[in-house]
Amino acid sequence: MVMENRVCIVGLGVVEPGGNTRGVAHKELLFHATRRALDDAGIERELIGGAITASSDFTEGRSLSNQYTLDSIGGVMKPCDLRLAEDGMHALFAGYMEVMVDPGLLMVVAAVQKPSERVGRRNGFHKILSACLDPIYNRPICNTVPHAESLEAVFGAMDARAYMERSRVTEELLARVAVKNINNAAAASGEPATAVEDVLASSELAWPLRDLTMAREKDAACTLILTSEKNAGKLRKEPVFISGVGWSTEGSHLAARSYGMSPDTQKAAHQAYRMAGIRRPEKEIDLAEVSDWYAHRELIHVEALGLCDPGETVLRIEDGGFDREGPIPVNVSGGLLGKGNSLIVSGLLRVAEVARRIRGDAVDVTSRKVCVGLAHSWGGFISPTAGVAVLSKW
Amino acid sequence: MSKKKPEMTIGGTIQVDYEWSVGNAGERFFTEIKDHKRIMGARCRTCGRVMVPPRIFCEECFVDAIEWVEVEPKGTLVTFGDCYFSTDGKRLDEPWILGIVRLNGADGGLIHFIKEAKAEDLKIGMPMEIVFSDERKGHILDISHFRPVKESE
Repeated sequence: MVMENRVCIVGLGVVEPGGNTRGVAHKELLFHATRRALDDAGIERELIGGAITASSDFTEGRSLSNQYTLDSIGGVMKPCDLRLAEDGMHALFAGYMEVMVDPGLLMVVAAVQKPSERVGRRNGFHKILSACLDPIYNRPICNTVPHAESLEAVFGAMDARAYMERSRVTEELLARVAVKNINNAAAASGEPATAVEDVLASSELAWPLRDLTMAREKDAACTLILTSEKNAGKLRKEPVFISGVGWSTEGSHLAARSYGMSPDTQKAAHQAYRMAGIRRPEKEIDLAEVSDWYAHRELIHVEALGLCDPGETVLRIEDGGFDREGPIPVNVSGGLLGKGNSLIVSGLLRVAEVARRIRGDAVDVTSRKVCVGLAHSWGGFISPTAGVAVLSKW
Repeated sequence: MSKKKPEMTIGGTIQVDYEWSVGNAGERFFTEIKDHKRIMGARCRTCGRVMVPPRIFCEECFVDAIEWVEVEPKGTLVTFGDCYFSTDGKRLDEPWILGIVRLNGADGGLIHFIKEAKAEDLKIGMPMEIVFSDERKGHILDISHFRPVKESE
């Protein structure tokens, strides 16, 4: 069957997390990412048919924050625009659906985050975390903890402890996950390597979470351009196909959610695999970029994505199964632990990272060819939402 | 050494105050805690699960047919996180612990402080109980904390 309306990525632009954003305004960051994406696709603003931006009010300090970002993605007065308060991966999903409906469209999907604009210790993320929780049953407790700045780490610790209880993963193995990702990022930037001992010697925030096993917030922006296969032929870049998408969200009650597992990821993956015709993800997926907001979450996610049998996780870490040259490289880009976490942008960035590796233009390409790649997003404790996108070369 | 030009920024804060309604289910839940130190759950008449915290509808069956049932203030420890360090890295004399407890016979759970226990003595799955505050005013902090069930009891 000829699928002329298969959706593909034809342009991408990124302001990398951790770069120098001093003196660059939030709107400018996103403009830079979008300009790069348009240049990558070889198009100008007049060709944009619709624009979707993802942002989060509290993290950006602006109510209805997307109003401010629409200008930066060329979306003003376009026939279609959508503004979402979720990870940018969801802007990709919405853009995907728009192109399915109208294969002639060129859609811009984007997300931006500038946590460095928040003033105070640890950029006030604990306040945002608490503000995102139910105000009746959860927030009063979170607002009375003696060290509010440790709240995120304690939540992470609750999740990690539940995971370690059911797996046989030790603190040292978690450190190995962090080392892999930190060194993947360092390999690309030429920074010195980190050792397991360094991770285990980094400050303990709330056992087993340490300074180096919890991703820190970074400024970043990411823009992708989507269109149909038919339309892509007119453009200059080889398209990267979005062959499957899926997303799912757990219930809102913090105490009723699953700890140490990710049923939302499992459900999202199931949908995406069904669409992409993937039956054995561990054999068919060449490379994955998943949320490693905390080191243990990478493992929870690879298990939920079906990339590793939960009974084999320990062995896989010990054998380097997720390393750059392993059978399924995970977070070759460095992930969130290596490059930094840009809430709202991190998931869309994972899509960009996978697309770069399928195109073969990543700066840190592995020795193998990547034909099918997977990108995953997780909303953290503020939003128990997972998204999965399967990308392919053909 | 040349001095870096300071970044030009504009400061600001957003502060908005709210009074959140606890809703019909919350009103019953908090009133029973305040007046009788009783934990009430909402049982879905369709699937039979008992929801704590209670709500007036079951999000699984999507019906608002519930009945109120009393739930024992005891349950099992789902997970916990302990903080031994202040954010500047100093070891705390008094660590604090948050935990999630699933009450016996109920679905879901409550998150609260764990006290009267050291983190090293806690284990996922162990029996826990609710300790109510002496002074109660219809609030989640009318529950003072969870503690492990004492063996003599």
